[in-house]
Amino acid sequence: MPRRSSKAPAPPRRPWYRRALFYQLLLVLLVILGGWLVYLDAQVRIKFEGQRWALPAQVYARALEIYEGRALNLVNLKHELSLLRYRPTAQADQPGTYAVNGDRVVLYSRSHSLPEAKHPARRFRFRIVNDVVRELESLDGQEEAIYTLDAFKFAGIYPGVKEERIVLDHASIPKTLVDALLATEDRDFYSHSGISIRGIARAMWANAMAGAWVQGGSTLTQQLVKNFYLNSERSLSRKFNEAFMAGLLELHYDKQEILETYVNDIFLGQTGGTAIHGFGMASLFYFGKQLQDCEVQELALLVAMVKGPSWYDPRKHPKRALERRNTVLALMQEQGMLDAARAEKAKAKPLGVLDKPMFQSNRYPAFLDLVRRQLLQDYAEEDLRTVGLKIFTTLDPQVQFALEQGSETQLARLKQRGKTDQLQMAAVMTNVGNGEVLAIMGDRSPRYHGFNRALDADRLVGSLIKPAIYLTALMKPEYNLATLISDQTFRIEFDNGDKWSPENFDRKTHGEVPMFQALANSWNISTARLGLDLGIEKVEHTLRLLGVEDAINPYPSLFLGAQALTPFEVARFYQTIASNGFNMPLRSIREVTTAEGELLKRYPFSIKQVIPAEANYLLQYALQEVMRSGTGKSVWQTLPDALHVAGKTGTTNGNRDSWFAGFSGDYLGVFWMGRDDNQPTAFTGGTGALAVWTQVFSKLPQYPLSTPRPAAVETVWFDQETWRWTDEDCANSRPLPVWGKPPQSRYQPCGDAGSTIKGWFKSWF
Amino acid sequence: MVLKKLRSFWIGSLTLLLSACQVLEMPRKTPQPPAQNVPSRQVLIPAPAPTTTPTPAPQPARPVSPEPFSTPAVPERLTPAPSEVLPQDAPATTSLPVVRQLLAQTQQLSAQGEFQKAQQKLEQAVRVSPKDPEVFIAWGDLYRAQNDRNAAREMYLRARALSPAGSRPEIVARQKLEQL
Repeated sequence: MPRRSSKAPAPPRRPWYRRALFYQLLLVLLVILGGWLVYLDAQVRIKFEGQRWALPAQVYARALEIYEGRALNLVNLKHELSLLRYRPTAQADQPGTYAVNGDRVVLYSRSHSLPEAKHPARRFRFRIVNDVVRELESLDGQEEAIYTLDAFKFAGIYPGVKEERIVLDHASIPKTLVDALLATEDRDFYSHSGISIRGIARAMWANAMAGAWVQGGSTLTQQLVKNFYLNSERSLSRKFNEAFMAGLLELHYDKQEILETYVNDIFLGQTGGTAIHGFGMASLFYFGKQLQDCEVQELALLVAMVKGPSWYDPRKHPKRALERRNTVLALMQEQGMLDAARAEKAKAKPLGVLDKPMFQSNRYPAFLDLVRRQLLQDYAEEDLRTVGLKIFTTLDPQVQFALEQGSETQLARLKQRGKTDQLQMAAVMTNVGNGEVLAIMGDRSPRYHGFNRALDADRLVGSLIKPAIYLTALMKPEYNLATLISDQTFRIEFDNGDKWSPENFDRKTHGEVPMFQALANSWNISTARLGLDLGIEKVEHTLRLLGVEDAINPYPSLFLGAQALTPFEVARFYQTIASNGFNMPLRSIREVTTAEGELLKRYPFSIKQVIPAEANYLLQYALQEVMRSGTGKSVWQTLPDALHVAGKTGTTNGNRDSWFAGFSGDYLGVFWMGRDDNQPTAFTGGTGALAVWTQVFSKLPQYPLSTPRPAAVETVWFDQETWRWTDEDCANSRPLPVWGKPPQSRYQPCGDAGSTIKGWFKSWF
Repeated sequence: MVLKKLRSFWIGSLTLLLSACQVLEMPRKTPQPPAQNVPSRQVLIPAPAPTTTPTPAPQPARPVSPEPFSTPAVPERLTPAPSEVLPQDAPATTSLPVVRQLLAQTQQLSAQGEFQKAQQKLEQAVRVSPKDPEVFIAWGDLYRAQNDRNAAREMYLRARALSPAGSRPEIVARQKLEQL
């Protein structure tokens, strides 16, 4: 205030306050601009520094390992190769191709990475002789014991927006791709600082010459900003933001990082509801190849699509795409990245695009369901959907194929024999040797996403429970396979007045029967008597040892299978029996890695012996008897008897549930059929589930069941009338394995001299 | 006075802008070195013949031993015939050449303390030949090297359960169980 009065208003000047106002306004503007820039800068950096994309988890099947002696057949191999989009050719002279001539196969694998190793592309050959790989040898000079194909990616676990991308680092982006990209989209990339005046001028010139919009002047950086940060709105303010952000991006990051992000971000196609982003994913999507394995004309086609992936879609508009691809090649030649000869050769090549994209968003929904449940025990849902985990599962596409094909064939046949309208089925296939889950069906239609009966249908198991009862007995020294049990009807009354009197399926009784026959024929009365003799707690204990985790029915009806279990739980239970009394967790995942391949978690093989090998051996023998002479004998019409399969049928009242659980040396299969509304069906375990099981197993090359006999198990001959033990030469006697010789009081000397029947039984040795 | 105020306002806002920049300064992503040309897979070297025991003759993948419930009349595809008759006193179990190589690699990795990689080799061996007792003996040894006696015991038990009575691996597995 003193200022105003003290100063003389001498020279005529603009009023001081107007100048102040001008500066003030200028400052406010500067501040706003500055603030805006700060805001943009933060935007640019926050998104660039953080995780740039939400990456779905990638779910892979097991990788096919080919080695001398592997069981394999051509049908299943070809199926897997077609899933992997390997092309049959005359020579198999490129990665991702194969040639078959009679029983001779030449395979050229693609390069790929698995958690345990990186595998380069390999060319090798072998023969498939009697379903076994023979004469395996390298064709590129480097012999391997095991050749590994790339793992089939069968599913992704997605966030809300379905985007597929494979993020590549700078080192794995081919130089030719960068050449093609810069030649076509931004030739001044390495010299401009976000915006290219020369580029704009060139584009304007080109557009003026053509009299149409043929070229854009946006730099790669601008394109990246547009796709990565901004929406698709076309306005001046957006253009303004784009230019500033491009400048800021260039200020903070080097060309290499910007290029890398561009290559991974660019939208290059669409399938179903899923968008294909980045060149890494696009090369798989269009050519079924890793980007590094692509040839120049293939890379040029991918670059061609940058301008408009649906307009230049090579599957829908091959002519247009070819023209544009050749334009890219011409631009490369013009700018000296390609000599004339190579350019001409490349231009002459066909598009080379796969008919069907190598892409499955979820081919095996029931299996993925199992995998997801396992993962959710160890990972947050959010991580599965966004951080690009790679999940290496145990799914075997060949076993899954056999399962689906066999089920379809058999269901079609059953349709001719009875009503199958509302008939449903579920199945679980595992590897007997290591507990890996190989294939699952949760519905009769294998592509159905929904109620997963293999994991969630709790159904009464019927006679499938019986092996647990017989095993309980066989673990005790007073029982052997020939121990007689009564099959005469009985009745028990409970305290509350309820009565229980089990009956046999054939409504007959069979007198005194040896244990192995009672099991083979699945007689209820004798089994219930045996169970009552042993006690419910003992049988329950055995079920627990075998791996059943559900609550167990505490009443005698348990002995006849009044116990609900899911097919998956039945598989756990039978897995222990199939693997010689060793409990092993059923695993659906081998490893989980980060998107970059760093190992996060392994699900290792582990075992625990829960049943003495001797008792388990006797039980396996009895379960083989089921298939030789009991309720499962229909299997011999289809399967070679040398497979020595073992198994058990299960049927519940009114044929509401039809079960079969059985195994060979390699595979265990648990099959269930029935209706969701629990109404009767036309099929027993033997006519329904077993028939499907047989079909499926007949499609799989495999090794027979052959369990080494434990030292304490010996062979003893039994008279087939009295089931007392006797001498080897006796007429009407048969051998049975026993764990410890029966007491002398159960011995009966030979009546007659030897007879021919012995020779017949001996053939089983 | 007003100008002074304006000047301080100007300086103030500038420092504010600058400090905002500083606050927003974030660690740069360090550029990654170009990936080296890593040899993608070790060349498999045939396992050297064991010095203590004679090299087992090439044998069927999963030998079907004469058992009461496995006939010798197995179709060819399922059991290739052994090319050599084994000594009767101690029938050696037979590993496929592939498995022998994997086991040799396991031993090497285990000696280098690479237990996890060794275990991956064994997982592979079990897939190739799930009934080969030698694989489980090797696995038991691997667990023992890591002082996991319980896990080692289960593996030796499995080796024993998978060996025909009186065979070499059965004897070895029994001895190892006793030593535990």
